[in-house]
Amino acid sequence: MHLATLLLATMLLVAAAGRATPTVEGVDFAREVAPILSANCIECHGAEKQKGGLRLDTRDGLLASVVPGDAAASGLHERLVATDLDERMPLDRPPLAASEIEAVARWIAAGARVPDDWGGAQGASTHWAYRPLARDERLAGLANPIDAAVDAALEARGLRPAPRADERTLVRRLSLDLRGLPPTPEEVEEHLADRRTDKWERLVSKWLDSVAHAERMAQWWLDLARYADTNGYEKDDRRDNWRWRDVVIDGFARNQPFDEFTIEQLAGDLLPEPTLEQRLASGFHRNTLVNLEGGVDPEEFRAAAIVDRVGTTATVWLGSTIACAQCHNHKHDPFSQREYYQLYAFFDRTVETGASLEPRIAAPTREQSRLLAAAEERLAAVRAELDAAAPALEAEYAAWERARQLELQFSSEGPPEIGAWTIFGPVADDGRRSLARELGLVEGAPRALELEGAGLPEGRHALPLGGASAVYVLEARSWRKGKGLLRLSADDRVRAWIDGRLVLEDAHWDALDAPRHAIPFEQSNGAHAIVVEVWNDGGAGGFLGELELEGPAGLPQSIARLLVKSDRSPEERALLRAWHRAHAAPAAAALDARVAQAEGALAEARARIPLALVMQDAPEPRTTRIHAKGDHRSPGDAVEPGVPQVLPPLPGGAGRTRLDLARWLVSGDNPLVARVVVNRVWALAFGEGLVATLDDFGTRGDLPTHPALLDELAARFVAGGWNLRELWTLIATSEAWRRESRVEPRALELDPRNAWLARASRPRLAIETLRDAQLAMAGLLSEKVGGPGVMPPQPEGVWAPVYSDDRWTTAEGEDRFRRGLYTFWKRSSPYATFMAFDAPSREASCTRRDRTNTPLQALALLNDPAFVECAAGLAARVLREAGDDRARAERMWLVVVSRKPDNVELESTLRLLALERGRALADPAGAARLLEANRHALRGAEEAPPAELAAWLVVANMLLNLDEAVVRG
Amino acid sequence: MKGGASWSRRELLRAGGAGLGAMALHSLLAERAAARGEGSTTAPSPHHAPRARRVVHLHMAGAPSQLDLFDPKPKLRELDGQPVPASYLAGERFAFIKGHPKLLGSPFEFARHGESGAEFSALLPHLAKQADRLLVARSMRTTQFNHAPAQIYMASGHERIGRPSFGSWTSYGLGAANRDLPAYCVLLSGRYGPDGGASLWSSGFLPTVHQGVRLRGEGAPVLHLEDPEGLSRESRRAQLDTLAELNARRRDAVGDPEIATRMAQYELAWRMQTSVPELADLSRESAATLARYGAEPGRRSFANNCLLARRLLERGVRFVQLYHWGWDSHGTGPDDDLTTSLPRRALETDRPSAALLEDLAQSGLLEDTLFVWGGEFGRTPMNEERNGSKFLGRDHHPHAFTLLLSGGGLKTGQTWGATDELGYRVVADPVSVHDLHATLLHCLGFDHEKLVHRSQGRDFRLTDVEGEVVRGWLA
Repeated sequence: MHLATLLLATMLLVAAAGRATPTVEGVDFAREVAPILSANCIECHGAEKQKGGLRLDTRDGLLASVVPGDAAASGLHERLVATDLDERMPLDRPPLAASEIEAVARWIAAGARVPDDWGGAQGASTHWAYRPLARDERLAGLANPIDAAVDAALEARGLRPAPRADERTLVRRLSLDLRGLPPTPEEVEEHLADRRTDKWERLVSKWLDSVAHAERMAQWWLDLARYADTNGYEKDDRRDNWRWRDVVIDGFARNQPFDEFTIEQLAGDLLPEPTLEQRLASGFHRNTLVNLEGGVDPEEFRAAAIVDRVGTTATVWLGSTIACAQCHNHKHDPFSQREYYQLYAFFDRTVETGASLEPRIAAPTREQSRLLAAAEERLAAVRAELDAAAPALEAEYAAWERARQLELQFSSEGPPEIGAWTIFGPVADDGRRSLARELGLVEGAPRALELEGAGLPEGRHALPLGGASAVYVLEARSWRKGKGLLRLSADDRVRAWIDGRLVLEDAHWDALDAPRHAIPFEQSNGAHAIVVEVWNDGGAGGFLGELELEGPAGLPQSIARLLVKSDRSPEERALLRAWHRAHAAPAAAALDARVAQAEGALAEARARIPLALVMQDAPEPRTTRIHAKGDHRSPGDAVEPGVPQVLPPLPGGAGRTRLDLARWLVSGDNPLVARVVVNRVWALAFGEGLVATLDDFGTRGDLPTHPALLDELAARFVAGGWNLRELWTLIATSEAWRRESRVEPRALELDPRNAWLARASRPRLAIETLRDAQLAMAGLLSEKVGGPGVMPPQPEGVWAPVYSDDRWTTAEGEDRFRRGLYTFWKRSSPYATFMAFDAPSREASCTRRDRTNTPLQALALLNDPAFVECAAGLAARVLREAGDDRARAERMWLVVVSRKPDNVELESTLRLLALERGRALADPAGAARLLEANRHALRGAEEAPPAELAAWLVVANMLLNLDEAVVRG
Repeated sequence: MKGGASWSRRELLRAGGAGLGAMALHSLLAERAAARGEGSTTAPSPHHAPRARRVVHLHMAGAPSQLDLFDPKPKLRELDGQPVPASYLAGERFAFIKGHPKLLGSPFEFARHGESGAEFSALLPHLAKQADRLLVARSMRTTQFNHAPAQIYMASGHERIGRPSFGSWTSYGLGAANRDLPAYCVLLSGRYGPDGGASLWSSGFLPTVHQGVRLRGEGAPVLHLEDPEGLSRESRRAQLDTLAELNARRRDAVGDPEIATRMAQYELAWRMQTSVPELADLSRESAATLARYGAEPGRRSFANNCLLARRLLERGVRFVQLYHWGWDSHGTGPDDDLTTSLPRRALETDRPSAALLEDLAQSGLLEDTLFVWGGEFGRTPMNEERNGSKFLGRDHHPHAFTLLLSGGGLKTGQTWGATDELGYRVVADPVSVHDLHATLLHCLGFDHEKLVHRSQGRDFRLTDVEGEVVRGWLA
């Protein structure tokens, strides 16, 4: 390129990077004045009303109210500063802030320039982000537009681009950016040895195709989607939404076009005949919090979830702070409160109540579906066997019934006598005193006591008061030795004695629909006393008890009674058959047991299937109303679903569902979506976006540093079928991305944030990546993809329970070493180390994480057993993979930073090794403790001399804390 | 790291946007600069001369009953058991009360204390002795009547999560004053954590260096403070020396100022490994002091946390936030009965709260430390009787509650505001949560309308769009 051409290109490309609206001597109408007018004046002096005949939403109207250059003589200004309350504007409202009046005065004094297209809506159409994508012809003609644009901007600022980084650095950078994992030393060497000219493009393509890349992209998406494994709010119980997360991974793994991905995330449930995966994908907006606390207003929380959906949709796809318009028209951007609730209306039509997790669907994995089918098949087979045996069993039963009836008829033995339960209490209880002991009921036969609370229904005994106890007594008599059975259930705590012997002590809460405890006992020939003591800790409660004693023909009294009864009800007939099968027909009992087992297996297979939260619209849409001041209890005008006016309209003929909204977002007409998405991916690769405010493309957001490039990339993204991998390929094959990250003092002075990309950035790795990297370096990383959240080690007690008994159960096997994105995410208490590294709580969408650099992070990386374990794995690995100290040290550096150490680095490493080896030999007990604490990571390294292993562990722990190991260089 | 003290201000400022770690250092630097009388562009500087430089907030999570502790109502006793006048109930919504509730007079005796004559019930004998050091604000009001949102409102001026907490604003505004400890520390006690969870000390959209650091009540007060099992201190030092050497080489080769920050943080971490256990080692306190607080070293308790709070304040920590669980006296059973659970909570907190206040006053720290004691809302003058419960209890009540305040810049020895004869509503000098925040910020030297941070296109402040300084509170 000729110098002159280059300069021209430079000027053209960077011109658009300046202010988007004309600036007149420091007064920017669009930024400073338009918001004031639009928020305070247009309501009464706009298109709808023109009080006093004044209209300020047109250029001519506005100019008619001012004398350019003379604020004091301008009617507009005069009205703002009037002291007479009937004169002062806005009428019947507080006066404008002094700073606002001052801005208006300054604007008038500077000439009162008004853009031609001023329409009362804050100069919206002139704002760059809402304009259609503009393709720069010179960029459009290039295979890769990035470098031309970036270099031109650098040139214009007198900045020199850094040279291309060395190959090792680039392979490492590529691996971390694309896969969220470091390269293995073998991958680095293989690439270095490759002589093909297109080896870089091949590597980019290979890693883009890896599952690891899909996981890395999912990790990014989970923050935006505020994915978590719990419901949030006070209770914060678990939810089962990981199938949604796995559908996201799957989408990235097959490079699903981002428009299709968007449609499924927002409205997969509304697609014609949606697949299970499409319905699951719609769970994007079910990642909102759910409050299952008692006493709350469900509508408040249903509304809160929708507010979150509007805000999240606007942030994630539109890079817009529409959320500000929940309570009033947006102060700076062209979004009215009405438009806010028009967006709200799209999400206001689900069947949710705000008081439960529904709607949910059973979402089996492929493996679970297979197991379920097998279990169903097994049950059917056993049932068929049972059906086949039915006639023979029926005959056997008839014979048994007849024989027992005869036996009973001719028996001289009387039936067992069973009295009625009598209750003593309820008595308020302080939780320690035992009523039974005070009454002297636990030893020997019960004493006669005065009766309270008579007239309870048979079998069921109510104990209504919280914090009370009662004692129930039952007396019985049998005439033979045999097998007795006591069945009971109680709420909340229970103790039971049979003939003075304690037979049950249970503090487990229990439903009272069927007896849970069956207590067999040796029945003597004589009197029996059953004593049951029940506590009730809260809410209504009680207990349920039945006693069975053996009588004539060795039958319990209830069965004997039925056998001699002439007209049995169907239930009674069933009861008799069931008893016969269980006690007197071994063949049938065996079959029954097999059926029960198959049923159990099926139930278990069913229980394992996660219930995923999905979107589902109600057949009859709700009427959405504007909430005055954002309060759902103050409904105002009804609104129909619709999109903000500043953006292209919904296509004619389109409906008004979430699906229509999703299709509109990715129709290609909407310039914001592609810009916003491209900018986010750019930020993943460069550390910062071309627009630094990733979540705000409005007038208060930053301007793009390279507007032509942003538009060109966005246009290509849309034209190329929303192909994320294509975008990544453009980035990873650009020179801008491949520069050295070395920071020249002059460049730092001129461009501290590296906005002009003269060098590569050095962002600290995200915490998940940091953990994945260390696991990979240690050779511990599990390659398992998907599944329920896992629990790697974290310190005792950090999972602060809030009205919950849920426990963190540290995984022992493979799940201890899974990628960070699978870590169980509890909103009220996220994984402690993640929090120390700026992970969000996932209570709300997070578009960018901070990258703090704190002492707590140093403590975590040095001391967190989850990281120390990685050092142990790494130590064992180098002992296995290399022969002597020098080779091992070099190997360790290669694994950790993808390069060999220079001499000074090597000597430092070996010095520390020698020191620690000496210490470990002198203190074998210390070394043993160090190794024992890390036994999970040292499987297979049992042969290594402990002092060696311990010394290398200390070295590895240090190396894993190198700055170079925790940043992407 | 050998260069810690030798960085030039220029070098650090140049690190500017390079990382928030650098910002943490900036605030430290700004603090020092302020001490030297230099201005700073990196952190907001006070808008007027501050009267207070520290805050300790003892939050009684679950909301203690003002009617049984601070705001006696003879009329309520007189009408005990009568239905509440219907006029009170129009448009009211309760968390649990159903039907037409009955009034509940306090079962506890009140008396006047000190020269100020402030009234306390017999449940708080020790705090009562501090009456003349306290400002008893009986006219507090909030907008929230469920625990989590009300706590979040009290902490951040907004009922939903996402805004920076008061402590974060304080850290943001004043920076850190101690190189070896975080500027904002949080301590929890009681059976559970506060309902609002970790969001209560979130820095929201402020840089995360300003988030509250939760010191744990038992074991190590900071996570991962202890070296790995089996690793000696000598080994750790050797590791850090090697690490510093290698990182310094990298810093020289790459020139990224963030490396220097990281090196400094590793050294601060090393210092915290000793400073924090020293801080948390209550066994160094005299037996008499332990007895005055009712603290037992090693046992997680509110008393221990009060003692720890004093030690944190002494060491220059800006904001110490305590939460003590268990004040939610609904009267559904023996565990939350007004006549049993309230005295239990009072017993746990009265002595140590008073001891902390006394110690701060004795050492002179109270002169420029703000002390705040109280819950997230009040409790109803009516008996809750949930499901016909025979236990005594009160439901959540946002319309009136009492806070105790003391310290830097506040006019103590006064009772502020008044409620009606049933204690249902505030009838004089109402104070909203935003007013409270505005006033406390004022004491810290900030105009609450000017201490702002831009996020998502809007300037946010602790007091949202409301709040007025309560002039009558200022000394």
